[in-house]
Amino acid sequence: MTVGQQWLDSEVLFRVTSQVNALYELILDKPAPGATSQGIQGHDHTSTQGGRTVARGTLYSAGAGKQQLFKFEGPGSGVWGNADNANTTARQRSVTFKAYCSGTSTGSSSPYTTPVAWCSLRFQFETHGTARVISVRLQNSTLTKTSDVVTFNIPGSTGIISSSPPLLLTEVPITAGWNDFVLELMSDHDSPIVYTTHVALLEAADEDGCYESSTGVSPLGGL
Amino acid sequence: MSFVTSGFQALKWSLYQIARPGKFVLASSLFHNINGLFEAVTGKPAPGAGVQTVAGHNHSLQGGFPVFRSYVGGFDTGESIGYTLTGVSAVATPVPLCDKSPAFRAYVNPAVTDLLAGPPTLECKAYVILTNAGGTSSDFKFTLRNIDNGTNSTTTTETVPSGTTVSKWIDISGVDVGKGGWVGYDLLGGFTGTNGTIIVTACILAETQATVTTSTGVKYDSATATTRP
Repeated sequence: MTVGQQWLDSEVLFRVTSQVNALYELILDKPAPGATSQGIQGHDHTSTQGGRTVARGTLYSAGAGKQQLFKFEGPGSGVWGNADNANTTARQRSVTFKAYCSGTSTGSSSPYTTPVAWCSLRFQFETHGTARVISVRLQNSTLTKTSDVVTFNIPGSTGIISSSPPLLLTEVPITAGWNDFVLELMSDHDSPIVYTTHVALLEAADEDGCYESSTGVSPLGGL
Repeated sequence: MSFVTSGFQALKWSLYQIARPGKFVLASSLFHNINGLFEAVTGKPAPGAGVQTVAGHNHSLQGGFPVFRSYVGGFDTGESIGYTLTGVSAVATPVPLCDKSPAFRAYVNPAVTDLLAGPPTLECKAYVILTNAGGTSSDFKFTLRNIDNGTNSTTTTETVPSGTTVSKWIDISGVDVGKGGWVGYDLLGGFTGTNGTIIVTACILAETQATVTTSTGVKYDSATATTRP
């Protein structure tokens, strides 16, 4: 249908036009202005070339300023526990928070890779003599998968109230629809008390973002 | 200011003739459509381009499908009490749990009212601690009110047995969006029994896939579609 230095076959243009119309109606789910009907319903293209999703930005955010949001008391050295396990009993949650994700995860290989989200975190603690390393992870209990792990240090001084540096989880498993998340902490030594003061979960389909780039060979569905 | 309208055009089927060279108008139209789509979606010039010929804009009069934005507003106070309501007597008709109105505002995609099949509603997840210190079972009721037009969501009911406390995430559906943009909401609660207490520590409001209505178009099937007799 296509030969160098020759006219394009009309069928090529027909197919390209159909794809453009499909894109228009896929994205907007509306007939083109002036048209009285919509020929192609918004639908999924993942079985062939796939593509990136439109990131929605913030999926969840909570912050307590200098106050505590969730109170954690380590259940023992090297043992993971819910970040709110020392809250007032009735305010302890088996699910720390819920977030709605727009990304789809159809398929198991590139270019439609399973999406991940980012999670920004900050914690507050009081030092009690012994230095400790606190590990942080986010469990997606909808998928029964856990994120990567980041750590911060509690120094070995005494009576100093301080904050962790800003922390970022970059591989939080997530799936389309509502997701249940459980924020978990672990100490490498005894049972320190740690307060979560800030949590934000983000979709960010940026260069290094939550959704991996498509590896399809043709940017707009080759013929 | 008048409306800025789209440069998109409906492509004319009569321009195609099988086995004939394509007309220049087709290529021109295609390029405009593709460029318009790229710039409408990304709001940016194409990579490498120094200018943007089609600024991101509202199709207002012609309407369009809103890209749902997930989380749009709410709060989470964690360990602290967000809202509370305590009553010796029943509060059979839910009342605002915050003494300020609106309790919070959320920004809803303004395009939500311009769909093929009417405006959508939002979904809400709230964490509640419900204590029933009365002598009988009590129904605890929750609703989110759009304070701009007074429209209530669907009422969610949790039944709590006498002498017990229930802590859980609840779903509130059918949250009205009005005309979109900044919308004020009040969270209302109540209980049918005596000696009840409500504590709310989180309320997550989201535009979801359910907030957009199903297209009425015919689904394209590439397996059966044909272009030649």
